[in-house]
Amino acid sequence: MTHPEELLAAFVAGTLPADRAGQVARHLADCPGCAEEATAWRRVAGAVGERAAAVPVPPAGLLDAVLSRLPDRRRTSRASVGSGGGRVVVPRYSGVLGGAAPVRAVRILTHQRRLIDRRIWPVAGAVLGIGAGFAAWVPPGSSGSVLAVVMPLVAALGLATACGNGADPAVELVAASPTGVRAVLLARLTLVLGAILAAASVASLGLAWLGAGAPFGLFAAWLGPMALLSAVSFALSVLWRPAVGIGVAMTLWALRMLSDAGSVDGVTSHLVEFVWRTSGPMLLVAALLVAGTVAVVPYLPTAPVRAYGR
Amino acid sequence: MDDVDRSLLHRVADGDQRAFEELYARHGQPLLAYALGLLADRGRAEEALQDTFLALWRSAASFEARSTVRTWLFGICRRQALGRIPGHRPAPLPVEAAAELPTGEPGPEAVALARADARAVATALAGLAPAQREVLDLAFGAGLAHAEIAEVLDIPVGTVKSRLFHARAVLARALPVDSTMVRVSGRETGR
Repeated sequence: MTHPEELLAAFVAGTLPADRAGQVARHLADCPGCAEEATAWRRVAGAVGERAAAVPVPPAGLLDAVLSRLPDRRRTSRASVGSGGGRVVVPRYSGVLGGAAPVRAVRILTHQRRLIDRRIWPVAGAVLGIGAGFAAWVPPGSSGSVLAVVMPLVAALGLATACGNGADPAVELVAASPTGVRAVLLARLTLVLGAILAAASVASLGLAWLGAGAPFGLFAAWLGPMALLSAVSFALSVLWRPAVGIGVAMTLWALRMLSDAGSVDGVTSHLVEFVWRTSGPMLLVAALLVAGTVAVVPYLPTAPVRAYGR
Repeated sequence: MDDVDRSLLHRVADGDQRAFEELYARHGQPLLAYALGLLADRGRAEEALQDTFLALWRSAASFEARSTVRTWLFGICRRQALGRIPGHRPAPLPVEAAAELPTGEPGPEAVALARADARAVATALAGLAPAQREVLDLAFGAGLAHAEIAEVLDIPVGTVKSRLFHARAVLARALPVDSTMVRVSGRETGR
């Protein structure tokens, strides 16, 4: 071994790998020059080590001070990748939702209202307004038919747009939030259907006040079809995509128009008439369709999961 | 050693305060000694230590396993300490000023040191500029390997070695003359 002067400092400090340290030790036994060098390093190491050891352990109050200054770390969910310590931090975005269930529900509704495409509201409002105006203009007795044509369509299209899968600009954000996909879906359903239902109710009451018909009859004219058309549109938009929901809803709607005009055969006409009526079975079918969609949506393997997160 | 540190650090990343306290127990004293060496002021050294551990808490999750936890901590501590030197950073050290070439013959500084008594060396060490003493503190106080020192100081390993030789030479020259059995007459001494 040539003179290992470069290694002597590390040798004295004890930071050489064992095999290197062994070589150095053997060399030192035979080389007085290097041994003297090593002794010089030992003097330095001894003085430095003593000086470092003379520094007392930090006072207990210091740790307490550090602990009291630790920021409350937001709970973040981490996904470990592999076992080599390489960690990928998946950010989760969350606002404070509050503790009580009603408070949380209101907060979720408020947040979702901001995420729904704003254009829905003026378009739905305009169509509803025109429909209601037309219903007021037609002779009394026909108002119900006009409402039955307009209201369900608005609801079906509104739901497809707000709840449909893949059409959400805030998809990434929603997927990264801890609010479950069902809560998000229900919130949007509640917001859009609630608003349209309220607007349609106000329109019906207004028409009844103007003498266009009995309030109950006016409600019954659109409530059943709206429920069914909305449910079909909602289910297909969420489970498949909005275009499918809108397409099927429009087809049902067109059948109803054709049936009114007498352009379809008797059997189809009777079927359409049955479907387009407010009845227990139809409301039940609509409710089951919506409930089923909401129930299965977290387990869908493909697009809806991507759209909403679990 | 680093495996233990690393698992502690992972627990800290998950918000485990006990693991945090354990890391503090393991490294608090060496880090304080190091900061004290840089700052020569107990109060500011303790501040630097506090901020080092606050930084550890905040960025435990972002620790990349490129260095050991200990090296990482010394690096943080160094930045915290240097940030507390008002106005001036330690003057850059003259490069290679006293790196002795390996010859097999001990240089005069080595001879002087080898024969000096411990108290004289301690006195000389106390008189060293913090920037000069730093590399000695890391090597012999904290017991970091040269590669680790290179990381903390962000310099090549070769420079760590030359700085060690340089610091030792300065230390030897600061020894009181009567403490050595041989006369230290500088670098002209016949080699």
